[in-house]
Amino acid sequence: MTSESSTVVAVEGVALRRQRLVTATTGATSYAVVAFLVGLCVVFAVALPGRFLTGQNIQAVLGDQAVPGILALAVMLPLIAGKFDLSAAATLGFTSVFVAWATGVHQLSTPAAIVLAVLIGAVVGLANSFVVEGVGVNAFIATLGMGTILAGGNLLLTQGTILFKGVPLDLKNLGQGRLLGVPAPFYVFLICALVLWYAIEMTPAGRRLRATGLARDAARLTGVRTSRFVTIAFVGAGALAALAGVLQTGRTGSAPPDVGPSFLLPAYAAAFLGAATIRRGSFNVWGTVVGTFVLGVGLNGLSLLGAPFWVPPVFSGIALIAAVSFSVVVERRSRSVG
Amino acid sequence: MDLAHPDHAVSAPGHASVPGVEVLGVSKKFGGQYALRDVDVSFARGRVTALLGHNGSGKSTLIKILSGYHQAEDGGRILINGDPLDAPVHATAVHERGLRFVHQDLALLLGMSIADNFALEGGYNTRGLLGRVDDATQRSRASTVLNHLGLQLDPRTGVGTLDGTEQTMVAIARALQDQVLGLRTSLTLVLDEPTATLPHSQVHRVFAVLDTARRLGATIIYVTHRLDEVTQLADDVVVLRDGAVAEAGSLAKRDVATLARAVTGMSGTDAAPLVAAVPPPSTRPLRLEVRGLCGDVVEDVSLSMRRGEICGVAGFMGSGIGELARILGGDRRGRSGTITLDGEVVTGKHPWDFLRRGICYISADRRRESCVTGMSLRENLTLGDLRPFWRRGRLQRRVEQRAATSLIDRFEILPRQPEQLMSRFSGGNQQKAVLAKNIRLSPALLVVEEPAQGVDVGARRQIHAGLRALAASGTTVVVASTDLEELLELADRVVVLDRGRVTADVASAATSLQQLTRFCNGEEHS
Repeated sequence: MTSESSTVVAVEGVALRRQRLVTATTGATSYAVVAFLVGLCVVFAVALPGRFLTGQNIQAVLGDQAVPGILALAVMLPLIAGKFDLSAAATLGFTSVFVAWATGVHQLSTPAAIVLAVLIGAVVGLANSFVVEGVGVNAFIATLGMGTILAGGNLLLTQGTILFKGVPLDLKNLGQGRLLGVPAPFYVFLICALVLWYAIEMTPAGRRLRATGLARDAARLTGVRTSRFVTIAFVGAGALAALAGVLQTGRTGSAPPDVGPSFLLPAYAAAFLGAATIRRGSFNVWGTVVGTFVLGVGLNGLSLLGAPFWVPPVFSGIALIAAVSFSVVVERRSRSVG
Repeated sequence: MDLAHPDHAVSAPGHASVPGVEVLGVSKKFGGQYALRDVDVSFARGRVTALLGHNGSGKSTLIKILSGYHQAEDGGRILINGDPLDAPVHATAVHERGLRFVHQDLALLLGMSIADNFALEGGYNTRGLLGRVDDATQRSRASTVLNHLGLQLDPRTGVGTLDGTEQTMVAIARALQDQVLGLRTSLTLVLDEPTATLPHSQVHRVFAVLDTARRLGATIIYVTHRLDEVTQLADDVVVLRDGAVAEAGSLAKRDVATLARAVTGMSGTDAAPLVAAVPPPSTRPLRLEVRGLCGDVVEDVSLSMRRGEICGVAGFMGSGIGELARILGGDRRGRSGTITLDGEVVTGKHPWDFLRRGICYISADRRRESCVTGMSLRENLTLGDLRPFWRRGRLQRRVEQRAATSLIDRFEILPRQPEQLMSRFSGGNQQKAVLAKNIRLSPALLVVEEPAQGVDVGARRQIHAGLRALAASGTTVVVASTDLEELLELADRVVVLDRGRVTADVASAATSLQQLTRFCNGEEHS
């Protein structure tokens, strides 16, 4: 009897220690991507003395990451709800062309053009959710189709040329201006991140959105209107992508017909890096922000080091595959321990 | 093709001297508990042997040992046509020795033709240097098998276009193809409740195929709950109870009643009632009224339930109890009929419409439909109603944690860690959490399917206690379960369904396991 109960205690002890071990490793791996970002900065600071850690370069990185960062937040929303939105980059492209066209060709005021652009993004999201939730088409296919339609819209508005004439100054200021030495687009990115963080982490709606993505059937049977949350995610993604599109035009002061598609992969890479960060195994706002900067700092450092023009896409692609592999491996290991 | 094995050719079909399958001294333990204890049984060639027993009798463990999924404890032996199977038993070795399994999930490739489905198991015939598939031979082989078994089907037909009965027959024909083509003289066919989901009027077609197989000399092991089928089809019966052989031998004069007795282990026609539960006074107000409810399986079901009553819904797989639970819980809509709760008709087509009326539903599929495994225990417990925690523009985590902790204490969910991911809890603790999150909503009606499925004895007791306490507070609890003993233990009243129709509606105190088993087999309560 005594020996039996002491074995039980011993077994419980092992289980407890194991439990602590798991929490400890989980804690460590949750911040591995953050540590990687810090390491990356240290390496570049050492390798590029006086060139990487300068006010000018830091401003460039912060400013450059706003558009890809907002797009990463945009694709993150449907990912949280368990859906892919491959039309986000095309929405960015179309709205970028739209504001250049509306302000430059039709002399619309900048605020009106921005509001219209964000509305267009929201309508695109609504259309996506109608096809995905209403008709029941796989989100991958539906949004791939939507993206291609929007690319056609780019050609229609630009007639195949680059729009740059008449892009108003206030729009360029939004893209290129500074406030307290920090690029204006970075503030927009930060505000977007804060709003999403609040909505997802602090409100009942955010909780229900996450439940929808994690276990749709269980959420539905607990009374969550899952379809509604998928719609909210697509509409939010469209609106955010549109905002990124507006900033893109402001930043470059022009809108070429092929703007958009190249933003898609880095956005997904950032979101997946984010899912391997902070709240490991689920997509989250600050993880996505960190993921965006891993890509931004990496590309910035590599270009300062003189990397040729073909390196950036290779880097983004590797980052996406590495992020997903990392989370898969860590998940498997923690499961086999637990 | 394995023709070299000596035993396949020894005895001609019908010469039943050597049994097709012999199980000698086989035991199996799970975590110190015997699921099977020293079982000796044999299954004769050219005969259909029905393998009977309630949930937990050891039936499926025995089948899984035969298929090589579980390994028997040391000392047990399995002989196929008189020749021992080497331990450890592998699925491939079992297949080579002529054992074929047809499970409820038929494992057919629905997008392919019958001929292709046959070839994927029996092997492809190829011709030419490049190994092109010889479709003509494939088709003619499949066609021979189908004709021999009396199936008028074109081998080119896509399996997905067939109805459920035809698919079942095709799966059986596929398993029997070597026997029919004369490549083996004695196959063993193990069927695990093949007719559970088929319409009653079609079952005889499956039996006809099995009859042909029996005449060809196959050894057929037929696992079922349906005793009426046993009397129609079987030559022999083996009854397992609590991991041991309770009865074995020729069917002879056994009828449904004697079989039910053998399965439940009771003597006398209707042994003393198992539970002396006090039914709630019939003066309590009515809570739920169901009138003429029809669905895919469920047909014309009418019921009424009172406040504070625990009502069991019993039936075998395919009887419609699952569908009835889903319709009552709001996850599925009936074709016709009305559901009235506290005098008001329940409308709406989504679970949330029903939740708003105070109807909660717990599915039998815990991992997929009850738990958000990727969220913490706290988040699971509170998801159903977040309003109490929404203060000053944000979810107050402290308040939420307190609510979670009190539920964890009340339902003894272990470990007591509200922040641990749901996926890390054991099945029993997950189920306690699922119950807790529903009880928290103080429903007027709780519909729960298989509440104690796959949980240990301790958790089962706690879950039952939780359901009783809920009923005592006035909630009407509907428990749909295939586990008849559980219902007798838990419910005040049991409604029995067979093939979608109510066959009985009796107080638990006035019935017995045996009687319920007969009702599940379609006998009507007078």
